[in-house]
Amino acid sequence: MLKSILKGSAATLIASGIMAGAASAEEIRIYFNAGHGYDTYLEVFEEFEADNPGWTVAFERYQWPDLRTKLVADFAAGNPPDLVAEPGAWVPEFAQQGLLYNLDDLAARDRAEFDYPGDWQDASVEKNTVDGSLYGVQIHLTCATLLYNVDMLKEAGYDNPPTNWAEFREIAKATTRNGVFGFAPNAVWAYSMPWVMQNGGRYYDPETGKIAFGSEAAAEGVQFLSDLIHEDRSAPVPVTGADYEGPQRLFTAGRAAMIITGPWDINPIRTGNPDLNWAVAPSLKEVEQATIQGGVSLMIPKDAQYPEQAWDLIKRLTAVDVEVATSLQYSMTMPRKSWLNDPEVQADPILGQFGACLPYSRDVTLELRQAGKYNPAIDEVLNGAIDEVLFANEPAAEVLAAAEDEANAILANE
Amino acid sequence: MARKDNHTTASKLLIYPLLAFFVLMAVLPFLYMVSLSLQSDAEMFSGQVVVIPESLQFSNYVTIWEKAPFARFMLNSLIVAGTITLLHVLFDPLIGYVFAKMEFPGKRLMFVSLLATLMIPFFIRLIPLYVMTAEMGLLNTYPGLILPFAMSAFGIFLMRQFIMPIPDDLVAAARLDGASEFRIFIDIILPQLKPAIATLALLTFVFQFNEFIWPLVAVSSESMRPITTGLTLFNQEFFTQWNLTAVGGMLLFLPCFLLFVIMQRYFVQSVMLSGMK
Amino acid sequence: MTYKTRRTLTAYAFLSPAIVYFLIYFFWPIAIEFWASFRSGQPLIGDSAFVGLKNYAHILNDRLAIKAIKATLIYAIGSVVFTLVLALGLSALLVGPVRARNGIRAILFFPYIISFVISALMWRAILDPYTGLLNAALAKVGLPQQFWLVDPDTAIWTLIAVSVWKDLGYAVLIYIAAIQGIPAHLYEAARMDGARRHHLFRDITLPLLMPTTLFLAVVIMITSLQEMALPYLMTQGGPANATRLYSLHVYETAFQGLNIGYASALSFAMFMLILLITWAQFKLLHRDIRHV
Repeated sequence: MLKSILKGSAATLIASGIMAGAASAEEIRIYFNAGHGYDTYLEVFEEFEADNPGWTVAFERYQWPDLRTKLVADFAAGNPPDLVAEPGAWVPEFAQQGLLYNLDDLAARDRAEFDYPGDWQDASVEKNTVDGSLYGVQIHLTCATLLYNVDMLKEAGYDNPPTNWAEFREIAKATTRNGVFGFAPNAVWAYSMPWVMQNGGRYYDPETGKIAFGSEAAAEGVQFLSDLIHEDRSAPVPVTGADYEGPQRLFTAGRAAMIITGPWDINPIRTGNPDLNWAVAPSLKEVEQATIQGGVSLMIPKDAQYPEQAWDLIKRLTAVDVEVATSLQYSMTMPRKSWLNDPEVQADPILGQFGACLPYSRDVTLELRQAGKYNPAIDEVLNGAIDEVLFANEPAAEVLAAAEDEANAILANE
Repeated sequence: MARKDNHTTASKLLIYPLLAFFVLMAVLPFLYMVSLSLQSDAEMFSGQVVVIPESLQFSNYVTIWEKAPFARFMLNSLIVAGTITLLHVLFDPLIGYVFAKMEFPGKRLMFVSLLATLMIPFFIRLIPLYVMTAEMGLLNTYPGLILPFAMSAFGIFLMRQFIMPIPDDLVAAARLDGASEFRIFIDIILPQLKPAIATLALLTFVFQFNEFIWPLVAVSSESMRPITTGLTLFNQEFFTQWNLTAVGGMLLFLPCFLLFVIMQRYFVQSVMLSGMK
Repeated sequence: MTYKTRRTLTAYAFLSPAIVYFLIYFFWPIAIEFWASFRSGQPLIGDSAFVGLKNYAHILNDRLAIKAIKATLIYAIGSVVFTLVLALGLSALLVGPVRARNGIRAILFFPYIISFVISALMWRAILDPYTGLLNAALAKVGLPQQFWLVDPDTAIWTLIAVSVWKDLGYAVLIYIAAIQGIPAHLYEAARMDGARRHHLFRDITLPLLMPTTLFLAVVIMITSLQEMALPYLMTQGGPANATRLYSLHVYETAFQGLNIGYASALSFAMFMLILLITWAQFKLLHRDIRHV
């Protein structure tokens, strides 16, 4: 009903626009993740079309790696879209190459009605700032934290989830049975980083300008994870692959008591096993409380045809009411401070818990990207090293120290 | 026709289990795909091994058409892969004949250059091809999707290798009779090439029907997508909608399978003609 | 006009559309990338500068590239050898008096016609050590769990198996088409000379299949040396980079690393290697065909 009214009014507006000679058939092109074609966003596009007679939104959806391939080809052809969603690492990269539109002026102009960056959590602003200028606006902000099977923990005699490593290890052991694991880790290297960061380690040290994942603290974190797998046998060897589903599937099947994941797994778990009694816990605290952060930003290419309209769409897509509606409907966490303070969000036990971990979550490679030295080859080196520890049970200290040297050699070579 | 001697019961005991093994392995992922395509969302996310779904969700086969314009995707795939296949069937045998049976200066160099084009991965040519296609104004059009694959060294090489065993004296005799090269090709070579051309058509179609990366970059509207890139619309950021993806797999499978069944006639026919049973 | 000139002109007339096409759609883009391989910065996308052979020299310092070359050679040789041996054996069986051979042939070709993307994902799901079909089956009969794709030592062989699985039906198809193209009179002549059945295979079929064998060996070798989709879909190059095949490394260098100059250099280095291997294959397998 609403849609048809919107469409009807759009038609009249177009007609009147043509009469006035103002409107022409213009198309604004958007690249988005295929998983994020939420109804709430589609409604925003319809509203935009209704408010801007003669304009259509070409909403193109791709998987992240595909989107990236297409975008790179578009930059080469000088034919980029007007608005692009990115999975949290591309803004500094493309901005440093002069391929993105500087948003400072637009943000300053509209601050009264649209408080960017004021209403955004600091971490999400930092990610989109390059050399002091804004080049992107965060639309989703996520973090991975602990999910646990309430019944399995109770059965093993624990009423509360673990808060530090010792408790975690104990509970993982106690909940492991034949064919059931206390903890199911994810094979992607970034999921080892919460352990590194909780122990005070980091990926890159901006003070020395060097890669730091070979430190003792970092190695201890990865070794702890490896010991769960190889010594305690309370965790399975993670399965490599292109997807992130492995641990979630074990958790949903009741074959893993704990996993670490983000809000995107909420719906698959609820669908796969509606009876599962599970909850979300704050991230563990060893030396410090920390976890990994993810999310999506919107950016406008420098050669975009319609940056003004793209900015208008950014404002509409990140409006607080859109954020709240989207997060409640699709279990997604959002970057705006007023979203986190929204009573409906606070009242949702699972969303609220994920929201609570956002402030202490960290974007692992951010510091390196901001230094303009990010190179995916370094991720590959770290990925290979973590694999060697987790799959082949090599000692973390040696492997990571060697990987750090190799990564620093790559940095020096650039 | 003494041939029973080496097909003893013993060798049969060995042959049939062996064939059964290969047949089983060949269909295993297919059967799994069929099973997945009939699973409910709950079964798909359950993390349990589901072989036979509890209730067959034929509705998945309906859902997919509602979620995206799959009829259009199918049409796009058929137009693009069909045209490319036709172009290959028209050009490759003739060019293969030139390389197999004709002598001319520069033949070696040209053949080596032709083979060399197979040795650079497609994605390396991707950006220049994209820029070129954009400049021609062919992005998001059928010609833009078809042209980069209109010819390939693979098909020409395949045809050349099939034409080579055809006895030279047949060709030489026709040349002595004053037949033009084109006539020789049509009257002598082509009739022998039926199974080879059927193979070429099938392989080309299957390959193009499954092409992913070029339509990914060259198409910019949903209505021009082929099935392959259309399928990626279902996958979420961090998990795959397995059941619908499997339905898509069935959609990709069926036209290729149909073509195979049609082409199989040519293989069976020529077995009877060659009489080597 | 002599016969020779006329024949040359005819040949070129037949080839002219192909020559024009390949110049535009293959050699021009390849030339552009070749140009990029001597540049640093962002050739094709942004600013870049000529650096001579630096990109090529860097390959020797790229540990992942060296590791990838080794894995790729194992993968390619394994795929070619296993595919050809099995395909030849199966084709010989399937042109003989075997029950339901058309059906068997059709089923063997299934792996080639199921979308490769889908079948790679199916295999990954089937081979998953914890939630996969095969391990569930092994557990049922009391056999230990297998870590096919998870163990760095077995992962590459698992990929080879999947690649053989995929190409087998296609190689069988081509072999059978080739066997059927062999003129019947050759067999009849030999039979009249009193040749026995398995001699017919060895003396007539096998030599006449050499062009086909060469074709399959060259094509499967070339495509395997450039394989990217399989590790991309099944392992993302892991575990511990054991299945990081060369093309995957190049693709990630180009599109994830945005290092297009270096990625081009990597490609042309691989090109030289493939050229060398293909040349060797022609030397080994390319024989004159003598008709009986």
